Amino acid sequence: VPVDGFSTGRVDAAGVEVGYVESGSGEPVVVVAATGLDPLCARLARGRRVTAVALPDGTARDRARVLGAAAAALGLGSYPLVGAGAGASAALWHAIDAPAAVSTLVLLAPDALGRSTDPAGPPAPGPAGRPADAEIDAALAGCGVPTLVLFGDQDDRARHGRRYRAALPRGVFGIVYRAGRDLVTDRPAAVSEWVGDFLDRGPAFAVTTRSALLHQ
Amino acid sequence: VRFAVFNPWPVYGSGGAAGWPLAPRHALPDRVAESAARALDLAELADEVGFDYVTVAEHHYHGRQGSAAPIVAAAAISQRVRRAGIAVLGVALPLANPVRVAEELALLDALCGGRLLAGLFRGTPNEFLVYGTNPAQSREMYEEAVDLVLAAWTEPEPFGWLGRHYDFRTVAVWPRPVQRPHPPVVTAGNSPGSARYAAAHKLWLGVSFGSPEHAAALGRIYREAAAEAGWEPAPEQLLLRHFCLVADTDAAAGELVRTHQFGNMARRRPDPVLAAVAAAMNPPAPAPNGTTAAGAPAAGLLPTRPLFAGAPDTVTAQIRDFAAATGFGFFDLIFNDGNLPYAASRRSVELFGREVLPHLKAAAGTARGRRAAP
Repeated sequence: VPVDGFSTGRVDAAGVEVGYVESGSGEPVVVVAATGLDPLCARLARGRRVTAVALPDGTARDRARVLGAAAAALGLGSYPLVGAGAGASAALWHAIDAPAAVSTLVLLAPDALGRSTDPAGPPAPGPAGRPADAEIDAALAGCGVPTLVLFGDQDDRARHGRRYRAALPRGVFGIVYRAGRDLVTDRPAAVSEWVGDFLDRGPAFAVTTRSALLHQ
Repeated sequence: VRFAVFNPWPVYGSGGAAGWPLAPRHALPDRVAESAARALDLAELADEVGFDYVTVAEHHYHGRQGSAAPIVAAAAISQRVRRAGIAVLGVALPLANPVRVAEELALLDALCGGRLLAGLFRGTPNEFLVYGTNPAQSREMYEEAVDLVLAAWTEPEPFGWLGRHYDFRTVAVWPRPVQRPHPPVVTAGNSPGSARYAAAHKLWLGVSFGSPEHAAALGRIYREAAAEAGWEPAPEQLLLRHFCLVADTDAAAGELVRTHQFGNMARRRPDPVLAAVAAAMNPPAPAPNGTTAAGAPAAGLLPTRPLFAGAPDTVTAQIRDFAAATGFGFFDLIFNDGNLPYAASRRSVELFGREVLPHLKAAAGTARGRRAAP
């Protein structure tokens, strides 16, 4: 996944060769690489060492294991982790399976949850998704990593956000106005600002730092 | 068919003072207190004689329309009426914190036993001067704020809102509205674009003043856009606001209209500041003082007399004809304006309730008490 200003590399992740791109310096952040995330990676690289890992095909949990092995091989220690779509599912499983490695988690329009009847409201329009996955539903309750989950208001899976919020003990759910599934493409600056702020401050990003002072 | 008494909440005795904003020195304490008492009295009367709703609206800085905090006014009314619903038509949404609006309206829905009709309006141009709202951004702010209010009422878990004009990291409204998924929502549809917006979002259409032809045209646009969006509005989801005066005879009603210029909103002086606000709106809007955005007179834009006036039989026929011509089934009627003697307004509400409303209800086959669906 080429990104302007990023260097490319490959790493042996427990026998699986994994490609990655990297830029910036400072505290690390790992991104599960996916199309459309370039503006976010560029924004995060202004103050961090960003490593975007391209995972091979496979189940979410298998990809999560490869992700963990790649990060370990790169010597990243404990790091914030960002994933979008299918990459968010891998990131979520990695946070569940290796909580010591993941300090903070950001899930952009994650597809980890399958179809579910939603007792709190009408079903989301459009595709209903995969059948429910009892394993992930049960695992969410055990994920203690501070997690920001974002969905676009135009995404037909947006109502999944409330399920993540209800199930994740330290989950925060945000609705991105005027955005579909590709959040970073639709609202690059705004999404990057929220993600960066969450990586900086975790759930305390709810405390505003915006000045109300208009005139001295 | 539904009927509401819209009380502009005038401060009696201040109506002769011209201009906007009106200097607060005109708001004499005894008049302010008396006007509040009259507003509550008129609401009780409307409830007693069978109106479906009592309406308040948000307007600022003038004695003609003294309910700048309409939810406060509505909360007071909610404790005085026994059967009628409460209509806040509406909140000027771009002026306010939308989450606060969602909270207050949800509480109001509880206070009135789930009989709230919620108007989420963009606001008239002069309102954008009140708290420094940018008129050019008011349409965008409004549309985003509507979505945020609806989300605040319906999301079952705490959420954040990453908007274009609003950024909230934590939203979790308590209480949720009594009505589920939320109270019916009316939006002002005085232009083709806003009528289409209301239909696309499955909101009720509210039209203020204008001719029957104007209302009919907007109603057509609204129904066509609703059909495109896959739904069909009921007549009661098309609301007209206009002045109404019922007296014992046609002659008596005519005399009251003439003497007190009741329902004449086109006699305000042009104001270049208000015209500038209207011109800055996107798209430019007619100024609220009877001028166009360029400051020229806008003949026919604002009413010069009540659309419905006369003896009970006359008004019955006028409303029946209007409904047949336009397909509108909700009448939000103004019986007082601060100029008309209060006793005449009271008599007008009473006559309407006792001698007009039952005939129109019977003809339409509707009775009060049927809860409107959002």
